Formats: sequence, C-alpha cells, structure tokens
Amino acid sequence: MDAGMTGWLAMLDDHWGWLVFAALLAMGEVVIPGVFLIWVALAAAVTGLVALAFPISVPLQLLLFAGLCLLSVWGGRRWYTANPVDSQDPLLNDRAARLVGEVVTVVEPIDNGRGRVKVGDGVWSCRGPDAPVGARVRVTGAEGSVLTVEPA
Amino acid sequence: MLTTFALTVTLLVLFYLAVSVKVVRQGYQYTIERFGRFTEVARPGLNFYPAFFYAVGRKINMMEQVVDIPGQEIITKDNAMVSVDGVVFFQVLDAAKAAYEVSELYVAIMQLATTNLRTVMGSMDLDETLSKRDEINARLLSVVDHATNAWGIKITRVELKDIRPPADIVNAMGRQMKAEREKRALILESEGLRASEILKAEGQKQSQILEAEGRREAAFRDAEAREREAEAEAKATQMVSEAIASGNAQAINYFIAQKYVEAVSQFATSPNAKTILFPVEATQLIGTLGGIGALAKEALGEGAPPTPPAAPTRRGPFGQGPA
Repeated sequence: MDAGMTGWLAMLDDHWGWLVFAALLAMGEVVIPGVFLIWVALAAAVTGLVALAFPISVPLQLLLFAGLCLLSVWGGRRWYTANPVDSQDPLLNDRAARLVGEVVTVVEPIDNGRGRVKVGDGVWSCRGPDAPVGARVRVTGAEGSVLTVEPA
Repeated sequence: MLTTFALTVTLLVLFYLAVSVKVVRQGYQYTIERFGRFTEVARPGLNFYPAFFYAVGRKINMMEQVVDIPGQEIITKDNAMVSVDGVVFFQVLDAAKAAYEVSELYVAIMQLATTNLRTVMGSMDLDETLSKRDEINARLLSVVDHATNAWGIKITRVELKDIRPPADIVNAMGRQMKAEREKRALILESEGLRASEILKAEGQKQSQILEAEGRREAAFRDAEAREREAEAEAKATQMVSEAIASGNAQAINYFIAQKYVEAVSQFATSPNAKTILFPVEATQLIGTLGGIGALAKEALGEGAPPTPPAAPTRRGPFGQGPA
C-alpha cells in the first residue's frame, strides 16, 4: 500500500471524510444519469454519522459502508417497486397499446382469424372474428405487431 | 492488511451494485438473460438484476427508426433500367422477438425491402414506375410488413425517395413532352385560324344578305312609290277631266297658261338672263293669253268662248296619256 492510498484512507479516518464522500457521490448522481449513486451516497452518509457517534476503526468503517451499500440499494429497489415512478405518458414507445379502443376499418378480409386493418394511414395485421373488407372493428389489444380486434 | 481487505470488499460491493443496477432510458428496452436464457424485458426506469445471475442481452431501441434502402438498378417490365432508392420506417413492438427472432435486424429489413422492391418494380413498366409511386409504396409496405411480423416489428412506412430513369430516356421523355405541347399549340393555332375564317365568312354572308334585303326593300318601296304616284296622277287627271267634263274645256287652259307663265318667269329670273331662249312660239303664248281672255269672257258671261289653243300633251308616269 503506497503513501497516497494511505493518505486517502487516512482521510476516511475522519467521519467528515465520509460525509464529504457522500456529498461528492450525491453530486455525481446529479451529473451522471442513473439512480444508483444516491444510494451509495446514503450509505456513505450513514457510515460517516456512525463514525461520528462511535469511534470505530477504518476497516470496520469500510465494511460497514459496504454492507450499508447493499442494504440501501436493496431498500431503494423495494421502495421503487412499491412506489413506481409514474410516467406522464405510460404508453410512450408502445405504439400498439396506444391503439386499444380505437375503431378501425378492415382492408384485407379477416379470414381464418387473420387479416389487415387500416389505422391512420398505415395498415396493421390483425387477429379476430372473420369480417369482410370495409367492416369496422374495435382494437382490443396487441400481441407484438398483431392487433386483436372485435366487431365494433 | 485488514484495511486493504476491507477496502477490497467495499470496492467489490460497489462494483457488484454498479453492474446489478440497470437504469433503462426512455425509448429503450433491455432483454434480460439468466444464464444465457431470455427471461424478461427490462422497461425504462430503475431495474435491479443481480450480476452473475442476470445479464443484459440486447439493448433494443423502441423508437421509430429509419433504414435506408441503398440506391440500386432495377430492370422494369419493358426492359428500362431505373435506379431507385428509398427509406423504410419501422418500430420495434416486441423487444424480445426483435432481439432473438432475427439476427441483424437492420440488415434483414434492408435486404427484404431491396429484394421486394425489385419484385414490385420489375412487374411494372417504366411509365407505371414513374407514375404509381403510391402503389409501389403500398405493395412494398404490405409485403415487407407481412414478412417482418415474426420479428416483433411494425413497418410503419415505406417511401421511395428517388426514381431515376437513364439519361437518354429522360431526354426522350423531355422531347416527347415538348412535341406533345407543340402539337397542342399547333392544333390550337389552326383551330383559331379556322374559327376566325369561318366567322369572317359568316360576317360577309350576313352583310351581303342584309345588303340584298335592303335593296329588295328599297325596290319594293320604290315600286310602291311609283304605284302611289301613278295612282295620284291618275286620280288627278281623272279629277281634271271630270272637272272638264262637268264644266268647260276652257278650264284646262287656265292651268296650262299658269304653268306657262311660271316657266317664262323662271327663265327671266335665271342668272344668265341676258339671253332668254324662247323655245315656245310666242304666238302660242299669245294664243294661251287669248284663251285666258276667252275664259274671262265666259266667266263674265260675254259671248261664246273662243276655241282653246292646242293643249300640250302631258305625259303620265308610265308614258301614257292622261286618263
């Protein structure tokens, strides 16, 4: 272990070092996109507070930090699962799902459950009860690029 | 040493977390594989897949994308060589299928579009390929869309960008267009000439007809006038002769003498009055005067009337003598 590394570690000896580290990580979170560094920052902050309260050795601090990291990320994941981020447009990039409920016109007869319908100025494959050309059907869902339809 | 160990463990934990936390950006989906087998799709947002057990397979772009159909030479039904290029718009709807059902999605779409473009345009002749762009697009879209259904993508649009026939054909087309226009211009011009000639002739005809009608009308009126004149003359003559028959023949002499004297007076007042031609016999005038005298005597009831001088014959309008 060289002097520089020891010097850096020596800095961690101080509980303020952990708190500064936490703040830097939090800043990194802002700069680097991705909701990950903030949990590490939280772990560093907690480690710093523990070091402030109880005088523990550096290795212990490091191990405590590692454990807290796992815990905070796991907790963060749980929190995210429980409170999913609401998108203002949850169907973004889900073109087929957007079409559910729309009434569209059959352009290729639905025969044996398969045909094509006109949606806007495009044509989509569809699946549903047989229908002649020109029939109006309602989109009920989508499997990949195939829409499921029912008579409107 | 303990410090180094602790530090290593900490770094390991940080690294493990860094690899396990997957943040998927909006517009993308990641396929997640567990020991190499596809298990699920990571959607936009924070995802935690413990490293070693889970790995990210493919990062699929879920936004609408465009693939260029490179320029290529196509032989049409009538053996013309045209170069065509275009674009295909598509969107992945099923990330897993797009990731695993097809290898090299972009190349596959491009090749599919290229070959089908050849098929579609090869079944048309040159004029059709140039004028039925929409139809080509629609047919191409239908074929490519059907073929790519299994890949979990939707072909939203196929557009031909440029259709270029060979230079000499373009040249010929230009000349054809020019000739067509010139033909139209010539036809229009001669049609105009024809119409103008017809109109002119018609105008002439009309004017001649009107003129003839005018003449006809005038002739009718002339004849009428002559008739009326003759009638009036006849009536006047009749009245005179009636007056003579009922009265005395001397009455006629009164008129004649009056006219005679009037004529003489007119001669006298004419500008070249130096020489007065007296084409009439003075004796006759005297005779007329004598007639007047006889007339006066008769009117006064003195003696028998003298014989009237020979009255000058008067010509009627139609060269007949008085009625």
